[in-house]
Amino acid sequence: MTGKGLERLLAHWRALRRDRPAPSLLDQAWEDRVMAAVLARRPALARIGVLDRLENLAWAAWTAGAAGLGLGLVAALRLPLVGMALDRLSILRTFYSFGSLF
Amino acid sequence: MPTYGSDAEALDAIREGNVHAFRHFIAAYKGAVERIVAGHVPRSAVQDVAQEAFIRAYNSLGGYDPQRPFANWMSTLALRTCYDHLRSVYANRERTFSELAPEGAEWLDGVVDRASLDADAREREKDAAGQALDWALGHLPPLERMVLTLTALEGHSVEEAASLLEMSAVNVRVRAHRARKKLRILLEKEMGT
Repeated sequence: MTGKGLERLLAHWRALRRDRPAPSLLDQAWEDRVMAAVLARRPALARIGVLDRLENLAWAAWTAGAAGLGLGLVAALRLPLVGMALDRLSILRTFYSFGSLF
Repeated sequence: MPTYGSDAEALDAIREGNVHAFRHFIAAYKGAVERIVAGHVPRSAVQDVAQEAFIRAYNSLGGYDPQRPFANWMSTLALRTCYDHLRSVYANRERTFSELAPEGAEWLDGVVDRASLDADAREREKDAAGQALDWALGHLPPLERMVLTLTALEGHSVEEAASLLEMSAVNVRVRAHRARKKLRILLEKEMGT
């Protein structure tokens, strides 16, 4: 068989597929069968829901933990500075309290 | 049963535990799935393969990215289901391959010599031609069969077929070439040309 012969054959088959009247096989009864099969697998979906919720919870816990750790770190680093700032403030307050004398 | 305005609404309902909302996807996409499945597997297997595609879709909903159109996702799933079906059939080919029936063989003998078929003749010969096509495609390995179906019979470009099958365009070209070669050898043997 030549390449041309094969192409002609493929063209016939292509035309056949285009022309072939194909009434749908997927009717209401088929839909019901699929739904029944899906309902029989309901636990799979419940698992998806539970996993989703667990994922959300885990994410919330992780976010809260990370935020707490961050705040703690900042506080640990900043507290001495805050103390120093307060010290300076008290010096200033002392200074201004004497301001009225001048 | 409540109706859903969009896939996203139905998906939310399913995620909240309303499994019946999956009917929205079956009703909306069964036509598209049937077109794909009927193009790749024999008509006798269309219902089962389409059902399997929807069950897979349901089981994989957890991994579905709502940013991607559901139709594309479902098409890929349907094609993969066809591929798996063809693979299982091909693996059992010793048992399932049958000889080409006389009507199919007769059609093959005549078709290459005819310039064209008129409408009546085409109508008469449809069954024989369909039989010959199923027989010929049944001898090809699943992936080559799907590539040939998409490119030579359904008119998809190489790039489109590559995207549908999630393969490279080069791979599609190679598979299409091999499929044609195998088909030619098979037909030469059958037709004695």
